[in-house]
Amino acid sequence: MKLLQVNHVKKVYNTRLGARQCVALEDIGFSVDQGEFVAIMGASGSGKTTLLNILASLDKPTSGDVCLENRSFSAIPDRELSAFRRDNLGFVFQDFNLLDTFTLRDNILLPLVLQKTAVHEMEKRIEPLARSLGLTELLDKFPYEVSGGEKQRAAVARAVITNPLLLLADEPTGALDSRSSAALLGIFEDLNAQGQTILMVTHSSMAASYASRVLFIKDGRLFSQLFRGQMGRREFFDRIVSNLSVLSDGGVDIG
Amino acid sequence: MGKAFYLRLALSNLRRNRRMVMPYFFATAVLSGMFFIIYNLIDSQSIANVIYGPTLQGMLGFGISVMIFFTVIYMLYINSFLTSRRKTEFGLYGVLGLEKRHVARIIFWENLILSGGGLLLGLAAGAVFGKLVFLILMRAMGSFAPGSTVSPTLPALLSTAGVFLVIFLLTCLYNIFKVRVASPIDLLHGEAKGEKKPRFTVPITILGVLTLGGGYALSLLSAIPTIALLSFWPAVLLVIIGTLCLFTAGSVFILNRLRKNKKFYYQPRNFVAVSGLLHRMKQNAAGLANICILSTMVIITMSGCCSLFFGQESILRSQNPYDISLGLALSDRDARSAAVDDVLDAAQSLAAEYGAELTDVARLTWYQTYFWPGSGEELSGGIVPVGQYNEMTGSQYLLAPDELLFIGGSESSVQHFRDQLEGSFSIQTADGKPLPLHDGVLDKGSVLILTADEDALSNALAVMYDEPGGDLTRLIDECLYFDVDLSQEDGLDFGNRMFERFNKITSDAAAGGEYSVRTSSIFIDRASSLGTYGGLLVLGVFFTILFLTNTVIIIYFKQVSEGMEDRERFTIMQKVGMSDAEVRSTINRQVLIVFFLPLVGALLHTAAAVNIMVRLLELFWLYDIGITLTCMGVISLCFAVVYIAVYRFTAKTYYKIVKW
Repeated sequence: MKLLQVNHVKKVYNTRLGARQCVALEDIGFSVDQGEFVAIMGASGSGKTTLLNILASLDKPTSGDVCLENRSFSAIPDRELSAFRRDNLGFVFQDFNLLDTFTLRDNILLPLVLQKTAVHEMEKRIEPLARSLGLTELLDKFPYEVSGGEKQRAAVARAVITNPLLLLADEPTGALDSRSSAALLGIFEDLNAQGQTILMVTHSSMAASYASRVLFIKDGRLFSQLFRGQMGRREFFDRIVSNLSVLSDGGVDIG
Repeated sequence: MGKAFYLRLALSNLRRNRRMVMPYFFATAVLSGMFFIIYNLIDSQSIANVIYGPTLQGMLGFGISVMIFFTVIYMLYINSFLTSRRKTEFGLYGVLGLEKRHVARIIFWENLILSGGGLLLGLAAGAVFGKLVFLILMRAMGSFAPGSTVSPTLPALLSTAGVFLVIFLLTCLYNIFKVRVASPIDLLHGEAKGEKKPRFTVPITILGVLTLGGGYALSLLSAIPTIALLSFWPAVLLVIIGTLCLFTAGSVFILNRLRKNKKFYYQPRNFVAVSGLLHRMKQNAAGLANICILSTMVIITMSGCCSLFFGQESILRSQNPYDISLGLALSDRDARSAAVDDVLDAAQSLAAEYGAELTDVARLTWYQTYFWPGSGEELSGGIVPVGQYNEMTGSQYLLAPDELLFIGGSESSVQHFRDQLEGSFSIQTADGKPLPLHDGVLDKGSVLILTADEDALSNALAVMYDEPGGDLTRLIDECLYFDVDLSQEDGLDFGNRMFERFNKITSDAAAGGEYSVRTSSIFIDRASSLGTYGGLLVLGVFFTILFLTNTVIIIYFKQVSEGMEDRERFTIMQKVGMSDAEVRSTINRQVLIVFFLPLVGALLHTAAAVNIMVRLLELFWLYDIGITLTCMGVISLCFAVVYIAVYRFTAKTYYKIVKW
């Protein structure tokens, strides 16, 4: 079943005086099935983050359309957008984006509070989640009192506590050391195994190798994609790396 | 690397940090301008020539030393605020390879440009506005002499420059010290340090409630002026401590309580607001408490000065129930009466020279006394021969030489004189009419004691002074009270000439013997009170400028720091799924609460201070409570308006930073 459908998305930025146009994305089209774990890779400036922002409904495409469960983003009125985002999408960011005024518990509960969930329901949901992410002991600490890996786990908890249709992650391992990265990606794998659809933007091959499919973007266009299929993670990693070298060779096919 | 390198670096730093350094620059300019003006006024020959000008200059001289004290502290405070925000920048210099002495050199240049520029601007503004201030002052003192002027003097310039040189050196030392003690890594992370966890919130909150309550109680329970005077400074101290405690710990305590209440806390509105406020209070409580205290100081100082200035007529009337009062005490009763007759004639003929008449003339031979025992309550009484009393009031009391009749008076006054006189006299009390004199000749609560005649009065004094059998006529005053309808200028002249004649007549009457006189003229007092209270008002205005400059700058810095933090918070909240409008309204509300808490606190303090202010001003003979209340009300209102204007003005900076 198709969960997310991206059709011919194009994004053009105007420079300040409108004299020059800068094409960030050109004719992007792909779809994500329910339960998939998709990684999007590309070099800096390739348009990954622009794409993610559009998928997150934080930004609007110049032309083309994005549909989640057959509901087109462009059909959602502006004032309902944030509620739509809150109910259907979960976010994990490179720099965590936890509010330093809240304890980890309150950071995680924030989306539920905004949804006006009853207090006992919130407590019912946070408890198993915190346990599975190893956060139980840390819930009453403030973000500046815990490590980066712990912050990112709290951010993941915040993203999935609403049971979103789609979990969007923007370079989630970018600010983490390798052990915390591996732990976080393990968590993503577990979540995916439980049926959570995940879309992750990254430029780390290691991170991408946890996904079931990898899309490569270059200069705003979809360049190629790799399916993991029955491959082991090691083997998939090697394939990703060789594909990346093709990508950086300026499109000359050597494989 | 020549000197120019550091200078250039310093200049570009200042340009880049202008949002932060401009307030410091302006504070320097405003305060140095003010100091320059005050020093010029102190030096001004024109003011020294005005009657009671020297009083004013003395007051300014005292005031300025207090102001120097406050100014140095405030400038250091503002400077430390600036420095703490620039730690990262200083750290970066270290990383880039500049040695600490190089950084010190940059700091020196920056500070020199900032302080020097501010000082020059201030001196220029002071020279320009000094004349204006001088004119206002002359008007306030009601004695503008044509041709009098004030011009900037060199000593004033040097004194002003001296004050700011000291501030310059202290801030340089502070900043260089800050850079010296820290390693680059520390400096780089200076801004990212987490907030301190407030400790002992519960005991500090309790302490705050107790001290604030104590301060309020001292104000509200001050029933009489002397007690008000004794409890004023303790009350101020208690309120300051209470304010600091309650802003820092009390707010955290209340918000933590709210956070524990899950049903309340986990509502979209309260959730963000409570935690946001908690964070803000932890960061800003001390600054906000300072704003609150400074605001209260401004309101109280200005209310006091205005009450005295606008209450002058009321004060003068309390001190001078009649325009002119004259009294003579002499052991020879006949010579005394004859002299007072002459004085009355002289007064009438003198008044005629000015085309005026004496009105409400009253003549009374009596003994008057008042004093303050340990309890602080005034005890007072007047002893009058019954004949005069009967004549003045139309009563028909008859007393034997060993009888006394007490009329009116407070319980303690009556008790006091009864204790003194009971053994030698038989005392009766009556509900007789008061003497038909203007209010204030006899103090409130005074007991009027009637004796058979002047001999009996003398005997009563002999008992009181423990000189049995002595003749104490020398203590009895024969007084003359009257009003005369003259302008202030003529009145002043009339008063002086009247006193001259009075002194001549009385010294002739005494013929070399022992005698005592008392004289008072509302015209002379009025001239001096304009000097005193006009000066006080000017001083109050200068203090207000000082406090207000500081309040504005603290508010400005708070806005800037709030803005920088809120910018991040704002984007995160949007990403997490709050709508633009929601975020804007909750942040707006928090900022409003944070900035208006000090104003509310200051107004509350002012309300609590009403009683002690009224009592204190009674010490200055200001018994017209209406004037005090009006002044406090109007000043509070004006202050609130100014505060809101300042808030709105500085809020622009905030919105510019947050940019939504």
